[in-house]
Amino acid sequence: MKKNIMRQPAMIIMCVIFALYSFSILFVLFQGISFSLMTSGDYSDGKLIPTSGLIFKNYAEAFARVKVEGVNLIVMTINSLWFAGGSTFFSILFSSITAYILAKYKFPGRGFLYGYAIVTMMLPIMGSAPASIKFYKSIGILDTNFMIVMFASSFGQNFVIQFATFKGVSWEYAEAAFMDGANHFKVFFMVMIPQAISTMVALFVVGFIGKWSDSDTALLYMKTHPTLASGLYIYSHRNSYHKPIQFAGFMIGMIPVLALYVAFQKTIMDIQIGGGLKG
Amino acid sequence: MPKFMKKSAYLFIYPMLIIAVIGIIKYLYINFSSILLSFSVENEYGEQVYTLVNFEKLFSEFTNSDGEIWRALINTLKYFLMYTVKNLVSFVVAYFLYKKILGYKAFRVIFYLPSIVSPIILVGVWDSMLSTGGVFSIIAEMFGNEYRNPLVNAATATNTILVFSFWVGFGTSLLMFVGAMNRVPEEILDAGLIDGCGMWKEFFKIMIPLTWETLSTMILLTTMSIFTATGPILYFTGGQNDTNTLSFWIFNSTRNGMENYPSAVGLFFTIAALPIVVGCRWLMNKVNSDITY
Repeated sequence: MKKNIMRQPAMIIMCVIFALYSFSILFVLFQGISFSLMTSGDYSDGKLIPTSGLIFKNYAEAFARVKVEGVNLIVMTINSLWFAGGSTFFSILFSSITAYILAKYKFPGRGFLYGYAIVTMMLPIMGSAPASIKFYKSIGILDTNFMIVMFASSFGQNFVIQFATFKGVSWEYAEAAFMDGANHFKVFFMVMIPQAISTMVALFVVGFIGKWSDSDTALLYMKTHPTLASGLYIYSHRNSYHKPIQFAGFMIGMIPVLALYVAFQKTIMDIQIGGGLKG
Repeated sequence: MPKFMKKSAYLFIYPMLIIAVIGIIKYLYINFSSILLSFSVENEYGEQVYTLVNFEKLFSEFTNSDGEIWRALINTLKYFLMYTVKNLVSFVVAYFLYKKILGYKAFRVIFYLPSIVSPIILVGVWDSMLSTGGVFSIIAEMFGNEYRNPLVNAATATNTILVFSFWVGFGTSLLMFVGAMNRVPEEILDAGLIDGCGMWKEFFKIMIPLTWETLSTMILLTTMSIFTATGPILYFTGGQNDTNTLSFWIFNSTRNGMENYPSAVGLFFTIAALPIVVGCRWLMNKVNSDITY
């Protein structure tokens, strides 16, 4: 039964609020693009749009000028892809294995692992960064490309969501595969992972987007391997002039993640609806 | 599962869990080391000497309202409060999206945009607009008012970042809420409609109870961040003008090479959060005993 709820005053008021809020978001994004295409003079005069023509050269200048510790924008992009892509991939892989086993098998030690997952998620330990740095330094991987494995976790939010997903997958699929002679590894990789693949892809995209923007981790653990987030922060901090070129650099840094979002936008929306937290 | 299957299952389970176990060992080792660091200071020979001096320093900060940690704590609680309110606002927004408000498809995409755009861009634009010579100062001068960048004023800097953090989008929680609402059986809503249930009644009497698991889990997740709540302080002020939060202060101190005192501050607030988080979980379970992780 449907009723024309759009006529209700609350709906109209909210529609106006949503439209204004949307406008503010789009305005800020437009402003970022606008800043990246204006002259330094226009920028310092507080202009909202370029008055001296669109300066696309700022983008070429960003590639030429933006450098941190001798690392240019292209290398920063590669570092970001490695850091965001690698650590997210391993996180999803490790947590899917743990989530599947805990969701589908009963074995000695299961209670401990599940309890550990809940406790560590409920109580984030603060102030362990100095000890982490010491540890990574002692095993010789601090500030190296191998750090991505250290950032990957078998537990956390990825575990929680995948645990719920695997719980929802019928065990009958596995039983049918066992009857056909499959072993546990085959069942996991060939039967169960395909059932949960949309959740995994969505988690990967969301995780990748988050890590792409994460400058703090790179600033602490990957000082000589600046990512776009950490490198652009350091560059903008050290060079307060040529703001339009900085904005051009910011925009370049946004392209890969925006492309990923556009490609997987439906998947992200669907996973939150289909999997997500159990409601 | 038959016995022979059980044996082969163990051969699958335990090797596959090796990485998880290594992760647990690493986690325990790092946190144990962190506890040791918090109870020690480095002497002139570069050796760690066990002492309570870090905690004495921390407790002395609590008696001084101008203390760095005290101010960071106050700011952290402001962020926590803001995120709690934002969670509830997000739930209301989700309801209107669920009710297919005019343009809901576009709103859903636009509202998620700030989550994918790097904060450095959003902060950069805000910073430009707020700075002297920026849009806001031009508008203020047009009306003959003196303008002062709120980010350089200790009295307004944190509030400005709070407003930004509220504005910056509802992110995943919004999608979670819409998802939970989409799973509410339509027959229940139809039955409510037949019984004369209006929109607000539907919201309070049907939607909240039926999506309580998701809502309470999100509230719990926010509560977990009571002492870790923070905003993009690094990009806005770098901690200047009294904008530090506890987690940003720990991050910044670690970045500047401090080890012992940040560990002690972290340990103290982790322990302080424990009863709050456990209490909140108990309360949420009391209202609905079936919260699933």
